[in-house]
Amino acid sequence: MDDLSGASLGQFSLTLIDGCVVATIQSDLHDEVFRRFSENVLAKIEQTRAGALLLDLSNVYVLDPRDFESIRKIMRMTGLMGARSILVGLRPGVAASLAELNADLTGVTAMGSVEQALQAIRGR
Amino acid sequence: MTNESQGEFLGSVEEHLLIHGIKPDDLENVRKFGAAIGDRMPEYIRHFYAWLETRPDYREYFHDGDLLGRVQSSQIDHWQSFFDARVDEAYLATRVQLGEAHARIGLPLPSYFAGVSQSFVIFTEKLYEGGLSPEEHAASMISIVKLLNLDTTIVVDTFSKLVAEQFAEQSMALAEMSTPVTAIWDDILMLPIVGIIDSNRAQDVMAAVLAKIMETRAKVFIMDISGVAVVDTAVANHLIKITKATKLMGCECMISGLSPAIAQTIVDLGIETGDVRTTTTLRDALEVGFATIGVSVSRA
Repeated sequence: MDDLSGASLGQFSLTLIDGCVVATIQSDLHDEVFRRFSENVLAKIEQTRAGALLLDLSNVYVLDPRDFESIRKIMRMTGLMGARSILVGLRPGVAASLAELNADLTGVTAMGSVEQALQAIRGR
Repeated sequence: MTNESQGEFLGSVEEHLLIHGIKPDDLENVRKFGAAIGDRMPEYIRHFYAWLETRPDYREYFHDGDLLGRVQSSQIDHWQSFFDARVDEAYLATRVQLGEAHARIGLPLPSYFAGVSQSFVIFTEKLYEGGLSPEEHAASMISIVKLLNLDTTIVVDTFSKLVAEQFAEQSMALAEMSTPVTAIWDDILMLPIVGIIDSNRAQDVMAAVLAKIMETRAKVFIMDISGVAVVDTAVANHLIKITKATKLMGCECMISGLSPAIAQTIVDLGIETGDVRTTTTLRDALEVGFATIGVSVSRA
């Protein structure tokens, strides 16, 4: 069940904090990595019955529209599994380039830090 | 005036002579011509100012007598050194100083060029009364023009470098002044935008705001556009991009200061504002902001 091949390569890591899955992404998410990543994330949510997924992008310095679309897909899948998802810690350069490229942000929630996101979830 | 600024510009003496094709013969010709004018050199000032007084910008630059005296004596020195034609480091340095002085007082370059050609006319037509053979005279004319070109090149280059520096400093100061992102409360940032928004300015604003969000982890950003002159499709798109980027960083962006005229334009132009929160006054935006971060304000 627990396929940690991606995590062992240091490309992403998954931790459970306060009933939320925190997924930290370390490198770019092309195809294979992304497929493994989404499988792992969804499995973890099912396993832990987590109420929310926090996608921590604070180590990602470059994100093209295609990667962003991949992330949106994971967020939609998470929603289908009954959990909410929050983008966390986007860097200024990444935020600016996504805005410049006019990325579609409908339904996307973003927070500054994992701490802020956890607070917001607890508050509700 | 400082050694530093001279060092920045000056190439070697040989380079300058090479650029303008000045050979030792040329310098000798200039000296011969200078010797032919001889004692009449000081008369240059009389002729030059007779001409200068007819110029419209004369009064602007020479309103006080002291200044006039100093300028005149340095002019004499300048032309003495020109006709001595000893082109060395010191010679080049004085030309750099001249360029700096002109840039400082903001003398327009056309006026400077007019002065140079007038000086040429004075020396060659008014002060020269013969003494050279026709061949020598013709050769010296060419040599004088070459050396004049060397002078003006240095003056103009120094001048334009200084003006460019001033311009760069000013636009930097302006850019800083135009993006004063301030934390007005815990978790609330504010930026009043005044004037015109073009894509450069929008990028500056975006960069400044995102950096500030990164630094303060603010949750609300209020952009007040009551001072923005015109809102058209391009401007609206810039503003919407900024709100998107701040949203991605976990900071809700509100736009305050939407006047009735701006509201009308936005709808008339069919601009899609999406889910951007907008208010008429800064006060309203602040209230929404307080609600967002969970602060309640009441009178004591």
